[in-house]
Amino acid sequence: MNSPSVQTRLREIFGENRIVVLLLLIFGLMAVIAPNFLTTQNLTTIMKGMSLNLLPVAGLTFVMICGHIDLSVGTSLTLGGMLTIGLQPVLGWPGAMAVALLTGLALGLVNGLLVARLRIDSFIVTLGAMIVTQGLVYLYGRGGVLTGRDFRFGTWLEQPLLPLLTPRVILSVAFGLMLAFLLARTAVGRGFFLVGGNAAAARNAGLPVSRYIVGAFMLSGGLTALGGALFSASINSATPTMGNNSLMEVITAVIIGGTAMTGGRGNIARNLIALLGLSMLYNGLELMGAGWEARKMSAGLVLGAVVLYEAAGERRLRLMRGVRHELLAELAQAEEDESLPEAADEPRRECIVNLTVAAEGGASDPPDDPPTPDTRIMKQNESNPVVIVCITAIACVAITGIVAMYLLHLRQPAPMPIGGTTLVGGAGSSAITSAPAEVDVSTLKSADGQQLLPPPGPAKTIPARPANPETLPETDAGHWYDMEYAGWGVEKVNLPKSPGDGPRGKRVVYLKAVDHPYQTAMVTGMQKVADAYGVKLTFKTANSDINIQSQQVDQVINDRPDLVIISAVDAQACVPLFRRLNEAGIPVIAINLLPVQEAHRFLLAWTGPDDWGQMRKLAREFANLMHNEGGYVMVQHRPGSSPFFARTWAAVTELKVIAPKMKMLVAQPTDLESEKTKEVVSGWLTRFGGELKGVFSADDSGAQVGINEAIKNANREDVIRVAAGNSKVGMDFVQQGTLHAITFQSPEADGAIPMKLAADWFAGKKIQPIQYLPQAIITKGNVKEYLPAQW
Amino acid sequence: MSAPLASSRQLKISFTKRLLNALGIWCVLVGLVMAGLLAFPKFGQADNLLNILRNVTLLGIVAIGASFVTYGRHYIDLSIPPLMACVGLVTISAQPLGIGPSLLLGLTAGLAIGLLNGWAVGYLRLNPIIWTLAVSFFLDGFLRWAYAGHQVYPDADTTTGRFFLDLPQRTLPGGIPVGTALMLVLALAGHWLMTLTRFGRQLQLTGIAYDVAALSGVRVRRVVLLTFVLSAFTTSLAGLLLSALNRQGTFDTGQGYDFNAITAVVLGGVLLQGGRGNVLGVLGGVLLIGVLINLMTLLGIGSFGQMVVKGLIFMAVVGLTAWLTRRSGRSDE
Repeated sequence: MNSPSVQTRLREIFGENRIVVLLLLIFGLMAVIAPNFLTTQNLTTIMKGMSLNLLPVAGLTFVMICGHIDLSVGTSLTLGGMLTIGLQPVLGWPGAMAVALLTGLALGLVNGLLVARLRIDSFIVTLGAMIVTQGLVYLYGRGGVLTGRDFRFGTWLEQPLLPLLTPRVILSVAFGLMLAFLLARTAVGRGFFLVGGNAAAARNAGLPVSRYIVGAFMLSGGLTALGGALFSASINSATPTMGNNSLMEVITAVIIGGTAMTGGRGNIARNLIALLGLSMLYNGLELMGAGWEARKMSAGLVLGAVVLYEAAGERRLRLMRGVRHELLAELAQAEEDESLPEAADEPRRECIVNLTVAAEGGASDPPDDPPTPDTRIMKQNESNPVVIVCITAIACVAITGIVAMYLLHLRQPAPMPIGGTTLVGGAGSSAITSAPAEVDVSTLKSADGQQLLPPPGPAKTIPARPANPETLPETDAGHWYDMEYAGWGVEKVNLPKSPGDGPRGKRVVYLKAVDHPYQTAMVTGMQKVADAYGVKLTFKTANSDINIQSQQVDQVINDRPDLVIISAVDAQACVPLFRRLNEAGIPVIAINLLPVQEAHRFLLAWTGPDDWGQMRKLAREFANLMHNEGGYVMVQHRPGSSPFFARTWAAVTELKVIAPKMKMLVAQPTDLESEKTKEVVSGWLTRFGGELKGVFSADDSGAQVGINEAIKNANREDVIRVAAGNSKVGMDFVQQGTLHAITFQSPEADGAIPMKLAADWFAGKKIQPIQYLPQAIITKGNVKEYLPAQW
Repeated sequence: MSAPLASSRQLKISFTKRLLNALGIWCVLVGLVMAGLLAFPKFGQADNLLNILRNVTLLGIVAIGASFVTYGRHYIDLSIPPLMACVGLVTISAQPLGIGPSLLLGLTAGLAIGLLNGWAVGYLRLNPIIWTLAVSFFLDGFLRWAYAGHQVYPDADTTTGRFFLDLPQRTLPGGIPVGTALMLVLALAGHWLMTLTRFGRQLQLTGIAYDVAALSGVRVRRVVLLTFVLSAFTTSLAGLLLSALNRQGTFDTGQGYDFNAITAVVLGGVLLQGGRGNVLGVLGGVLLIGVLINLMTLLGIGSFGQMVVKGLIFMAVVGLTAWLTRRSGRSDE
């Protein structure tokens, strides 16, 4: 009689605490298999990484317990961050954070009132709020990134006071625990459960239901904004897309923590444990060298497993309901065992009697016959070919997947010889066996047949800095001086000494900003050079998320490679990251994205495209094609990125000087998506008609497709088109004659040059602090030389 | 039971309401178009109107399928973006096999994922949002891993590649693009399926009251499964067209289509509570978005301002619909 109850008890304990079990499981696993996982620094990294989403998770828990959802979590996090950084110079940190918090609360108030008073579905309200706040954030920052000047507070927030605990972590965790206590142990907290579990009962019990719902949304909005404020203070900058990854991460953590989407069930402490577990999982995967794709797949698997587990539990419950007589037999048995019915047992006996009566009266059923509704549903389930459907589905996915992979394998060129692991490199290339100094990399070619490591282009002429760039109008090149000429004339600090023993066997880590075909081609180029020199190259991807890149920098510091190459997620937010690496004595080469002046102090060198320079070049070609007159429109890059400015204002300021008769009609970002661009450009073609003579695009791939479609539909093939290049799509257009000029920008060289610089530095050679990629304009006349395209 | 009386009264209310519900968004749309015509002479040009139709084609195709999921009270299929990417990638990488097999393989991949979603939500009764979110995560990661971050291109030198690349450009006699025609046909077929067939009725009952539907003999599980397959089907078609338009397949094709689709669906009068609305309304919602963006571009509102206006109008229209519905006593939510 005892064993089943023990089993049930065990199951109950496991069910209650499965998230703790999961956490321990992940922790144990990662401690064993991931290198450097169990170090104080790494655990600190994990804590710092999770503290961004900690407050939003706590806030969303309230909303979900009430049976609602808040999709505006990501954007209100961004809003909090942007307001904090934007207002800090005026109000100081406390004031700015207070405003951010109040704005979050106000947003929550609006959401809550719409949901509770007007009874609009929360999914809709918060979806609308998400769109509106994203627009407001862009408007507030004018599409750009905001940065603070005062680094002290941010540095303090990130310095560990105790092992594992930085002030930001302490603050977040303390808030989280307070809220957990509020929810789980106070009468107010209980109210949320009643409201979510059974609103009618809550109302009848005298609870102000709509006030609870409004309160939940306000908590969610306020906490999220506060989380964003703290985070942006710690990195001293805020980007208009910083919360985009958070929405799904927060929802995932809340659901894995066991919160019911239908409301009435949930626990902040467990959700936070789930968040911690996820952070550990991601961190461990990264330490093992897995990329963003592993992170996404593991998140999907964990989420899928959790929802399956919950469904299994529910199914068991339903089955129990169908077989009540067995329970009755058990109870009867228990009664027989207990010989003397004492006074205290009276109510219980009564209860059993009632149960028996109910069972006999309501369902005096022979075991199998008229099934209760639930069992009938179960029956239907069993009679259906579930298994067949399941197997078919999985087989279909598998087969198509395999076929696709196979075909892809056929399409790809033969893999290049990899001599990455230095020790066994000799077989493939004679270069590796020879002495490092004699390695000849000038013969390496990129996929388009161009020289992989071209000789450096002509030096850029640096004009004098205007006194107050900000006061000049945007259409004056001087206004953008600090962005365009960042990195020149910087005093370097604390640069590490070259080991002087050559690149062979050195470990280099490349921190990628994002998974993108251009970046993939960069890695290809970098790998070619690394193989030639016998350098061991590994990489990590931040997926455009500064929080993730910050954690990766911490990991790198723990890991201590010989050199770090980094393409920053953001030109300004990268400054503290570079400084941390610099202070740890790790040499850093930044590439691709040109960071702000301040950042260059901590770098060995920066290499990448001279975005401003080549846009000026393109603008001159554009003016030529337009015969120096006529109205033009601009399709801009993604707001919040530095090409958003470079690929707009370099051209505008240049054209203003060389072709004053040309007029910029309108400029707008379109997320570089073909559909959206088509929509916008066809609107422009209608609006401006014949006045519109040319289109200047920040991208020759997705955006250019939309531009060309719109122009074709409007029968305006006379419109002059130029774009920043050079993708395969753009080159195809140039060949067709539907795109008149693009810039040449070799991604493989973009990746290869820094590796060459690194090798030179290892060998003790002097390296240029700034090296631009070679520039060229591709038109129909010379496009053949640049084919096939690199990406 | 006094069924005849009650049901006829019910029917009468629901008929007028349904008419209003179906026409509601079209009224807003007509009002907006009138305003546009008055404000901008250029707005009414045939070219501009055709452009609006062209621009909402892909969103429309996705939304038509997605509306079935919402109609059956399963909110939203969050796996829409990676599904579009997957279809594009598979189709383009299968093109050496010829145009027929490649399109078939692409659609099969999409339908297989739809089947998986439908099975998990319909038969295992998993929460649709969480499950499709999990699928979306996994599929996204899987595609990145499988293609190692590369994109694939159709080969324009082969007939297959050319046929594929020409897909979005083709027009029917009369100058209507194939994609737009497809959207209109799908809308009519979807409307017929949702309102006039047995499946549609069963889905409506399932959406309004799942248990009641199950008890009255509707094979609810199968019905739910079909909604996800339908959604995957139209999403796959849109994925094909989008990849052809982009002239490449990448792992991030189709981003944003999930929330854009649900915006259009809800704007079109399909309530999240299930069982109310219809596909023609969804078409109206899609067109409303297209007209709105076109007008804002003509007005010279920048894209940031457009987001704010779009979000506010969305909340206003949907909030008003919900409020009216509740006032008329058709909903107690």
